Amino acid sequence: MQLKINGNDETIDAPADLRLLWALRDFLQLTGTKFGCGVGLCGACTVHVDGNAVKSCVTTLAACAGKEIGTIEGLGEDVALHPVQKAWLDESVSQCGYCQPGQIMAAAALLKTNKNPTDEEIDDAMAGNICRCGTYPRIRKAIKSAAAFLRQQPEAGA
Amino acid sequence: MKVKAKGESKGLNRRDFVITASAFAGGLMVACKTRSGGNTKDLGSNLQSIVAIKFPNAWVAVSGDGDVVYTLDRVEMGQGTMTTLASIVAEELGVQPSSVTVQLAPPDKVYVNNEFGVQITGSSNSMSTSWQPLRLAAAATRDMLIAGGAQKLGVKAKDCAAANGRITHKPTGRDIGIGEIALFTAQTIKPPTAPIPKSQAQYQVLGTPVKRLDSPRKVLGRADYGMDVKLDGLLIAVVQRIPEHGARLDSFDDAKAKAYLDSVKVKGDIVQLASGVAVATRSYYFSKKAADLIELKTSGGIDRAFDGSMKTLAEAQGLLAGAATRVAQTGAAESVFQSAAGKLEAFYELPYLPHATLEPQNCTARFDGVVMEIWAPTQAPDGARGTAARATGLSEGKIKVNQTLIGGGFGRRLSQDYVADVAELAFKLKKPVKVVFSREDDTRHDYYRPGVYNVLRGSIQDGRIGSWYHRIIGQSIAVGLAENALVAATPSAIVGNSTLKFLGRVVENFTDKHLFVDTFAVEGADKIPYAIPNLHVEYKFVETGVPIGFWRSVGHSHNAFCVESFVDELAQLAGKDPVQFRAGMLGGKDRVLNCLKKVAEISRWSEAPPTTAGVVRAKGVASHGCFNSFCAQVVQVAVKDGKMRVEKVWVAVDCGLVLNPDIVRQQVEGAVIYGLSAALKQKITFKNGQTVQANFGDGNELIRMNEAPEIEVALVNDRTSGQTPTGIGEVAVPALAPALANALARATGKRFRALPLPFELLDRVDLPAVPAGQAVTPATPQPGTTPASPTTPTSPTTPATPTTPGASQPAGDHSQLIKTAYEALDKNCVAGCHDGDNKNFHKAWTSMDKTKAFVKAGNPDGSRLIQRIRAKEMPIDKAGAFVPVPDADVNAIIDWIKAGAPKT
Repeated sequence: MQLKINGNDETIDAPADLRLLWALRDFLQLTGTKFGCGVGLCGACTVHVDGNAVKSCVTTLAACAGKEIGTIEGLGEDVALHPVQKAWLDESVSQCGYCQPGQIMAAAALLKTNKNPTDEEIDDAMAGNICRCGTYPRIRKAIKSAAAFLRQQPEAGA
Repeated sequence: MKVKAKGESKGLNRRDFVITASAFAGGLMVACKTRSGGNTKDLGSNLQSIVAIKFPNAWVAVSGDGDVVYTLDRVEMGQGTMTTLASIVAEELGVQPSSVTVQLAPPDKVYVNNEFGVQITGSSNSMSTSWQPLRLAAAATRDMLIAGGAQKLGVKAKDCAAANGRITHKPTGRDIGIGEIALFTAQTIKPPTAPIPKSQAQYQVLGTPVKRLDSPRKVLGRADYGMDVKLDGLLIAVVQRIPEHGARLDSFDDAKAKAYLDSVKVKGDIVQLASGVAVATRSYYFSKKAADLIELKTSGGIDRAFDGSMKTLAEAQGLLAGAATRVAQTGAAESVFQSAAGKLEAFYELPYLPHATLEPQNCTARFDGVVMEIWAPTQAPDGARGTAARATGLSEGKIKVNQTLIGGGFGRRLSQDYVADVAELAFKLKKPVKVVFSREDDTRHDYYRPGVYNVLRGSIQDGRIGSWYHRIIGQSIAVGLAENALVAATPSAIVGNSTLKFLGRVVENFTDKHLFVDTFAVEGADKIPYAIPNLHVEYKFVETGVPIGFWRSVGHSHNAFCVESFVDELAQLAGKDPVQFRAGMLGGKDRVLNCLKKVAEISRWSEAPPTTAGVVRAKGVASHGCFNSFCAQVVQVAVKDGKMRVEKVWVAVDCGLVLNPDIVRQQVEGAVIYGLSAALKQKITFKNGQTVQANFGDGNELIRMNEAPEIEVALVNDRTSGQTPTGIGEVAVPALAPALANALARATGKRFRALPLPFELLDRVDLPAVPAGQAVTPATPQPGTTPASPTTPTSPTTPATPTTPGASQPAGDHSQLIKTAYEALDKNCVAGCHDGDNKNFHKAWTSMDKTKAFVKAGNPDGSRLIQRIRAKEMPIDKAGAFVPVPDADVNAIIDWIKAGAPKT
């Protein structure tokens, strides 16, 4: 299988029904994307497929053919954090941190299409992501602060 | 800051990066240098040429290039220990916390938790136990460096100071870097016998909201948890586990699993373990599929009739009265109660609870035939080593344990079952292997918070509590652990040899376990803070065989619900305000009282909440102290059409000296959400000896973004009192549930004495625009709504089965609609994707209130579920191709959504 991940072409020798999560983790050693439930209920495995937030544990490789896959490893660099990652640091969101790559990917996908989300829109976009440490109030704050930052950018990329 | 972050390359010889994270916060260029050979072990050997001062529980070191290295002897599982302990070091050495390199301690007796004598992180005592030794060690390091620097500069030590990694001669400004003098100092300066740490007035770091050191790598996806350990040739194993608690494996059939692996041309090892049968392949995906196909024949195990209700068990076995072990006694509670005019009897029930750490249990090991190396996300590394020794027969000296970051602990990782699994498997396979629990495994093979049933009797005298009786009926964690530890023949025993020694003390103390008082079962009920003249608390030991363990705040988690709910009932009976009633029974300097006063102030307790047409709002209060810290909470609820929203939670907390106010707030906020999940969502039940719950869903659901309340935290600490820091990880859990139940009692006039509370949650209840200064009327004044008859004790008013209070829709109206829609969901959604718990996918899925995003009640077109089906994104088959959903099924789901997506 050929996959395009974080802008790189990757070849994976695996059946087409393999879930993207395990291709990332067990074949490509991209372990920033986390396993939490395996059935699309917790969001720890959230990645971007053509810019949309997708739960990689229920996404087959076949469904990824020809699409751009983005993971937390490709979202920001040390030198240029994604605005969502920066907001996460500013608001001190993370506790155990295990769910946070998925939360950040879900938030980044939301802000790509909506730079001024209401509380209800944040709920809709984020309710599929469980945080067992209970960082939700800070996640909400961080999304709003990242949104405010993005609104100030002329053509903010995400 | 410098934190060692694992590189991308495979194997143990990968290079580690040292990241300067101070630049992250500013979003600027980051220095990212490679430390050659810089894994934990090599970094340790680098330190041979440096100052290294060892105190019990504390390692502080300064490397030749000026790095301050702190060896964290506690695990970082989200509670912020890494940052706060490193900040203590930074404070004394005069450096920024972000410049401290933190490495994780291996099992070693120098790192034991000196409250327990074993190396565990728990009981919220990392600050209280590390505080003194660590700041002494750091102060000694500083004093030595000053002495060394002064010698090199040829000046007097008393004229020098340490700051920003340099020793400066104050009169002249001449200075020298601590790296330059580290080796010299190590060779020539003797450690001071009585180093003097800074006074609070001198603090520049402690008491400020220092950013967490672990945040940058966590937001970059570079934090390595146990789940992320990478080794050359690593196999991932999934175990088909013996499903019944306490049962044994008689035989198994792996033909279908082998056929599956052949069909996908994947190599796999199938190995019988004490816990079941493991399949190890190169990916979790293949291992899970194959393990699911292994058929087990089992026998024995717990009483298959036990469904998890301690109420049912206690009533059936006649445990509500009769012999029990006395825990606390003052005066004559029984006779005062008998003759009292105003009195109340109530029964409180709490369920078994899962930990549901988001990182499922896992562990990695490699065995070369002589030495076993283990990478364990555990709260007790020495327990892990002992467990591995017992599982393999190797001596502890042949086992090396490495710690990892932990994706949520909450007490789950004090048990070591995952270590036993991987040690046995690696021993037999002689290949590097990681055992991963599926989410279903994690839920069904947890060490649960015990379910309990409680009898309470109280009476009122002169507007105060005149008598108090409390009987706690439930399993004992201590007895369970001790027995497990003693049954050494069980390779999967959950404790290690070191823990065994700790438990040995427990074991010596009971000759008859039925007379043994387990602190873990009665804590929070045995020493209640109120001055009550007649008090009797007792414990009735129960055996069920269900595996139980430590769960965030342990016994406090269930006892505070009973105590603080019942105090509220008695306040109502006495016709008193709940805050005033409590305050009247607390001494003037009581730290609980301070918290109560503070939370009443910030929550505007004396004012009624705002009103909205059709909505009843009310506040409830509760307080609780544990782990030497104290807490009071006010919860505001809004009840509408029998559903409910927790709108706001105010918390006042006293954890002694506050070392990092932002981490304290984080822990309190998290504890509120954690408490809410337990109060509203979680309940483990059993059927045929097995746990019923599997993936997230009914009984194992958690609070999500749309349900999380606003949380306001006030820190109550008196800097003048000279308090030392105490725990913050658990103290804010226990009071949440009773404060919520107390609010609901005021809002609904009904007293809820069983958890989880039978309410569905609303996403939001819009507040009306109330002009400033306009008076609002109290929601529902409740004086005397649940009074006890003077002579007859009241029976619990909590419904026997969870029903939505106030719900008026007739049952059955929607039953056919629901059935058809659920069948459509199960039929179409499970085949390709949502197959983790394929027996009742719809249950897991539809039980989530979060489905508002996916299923908007009454609005099929706005529901992403329908949108994605129409966009041909779902469902898909195993090859990833879209599978059309029959129109009848789509329509069934649409009709169900139109009807408001009812569940009953």
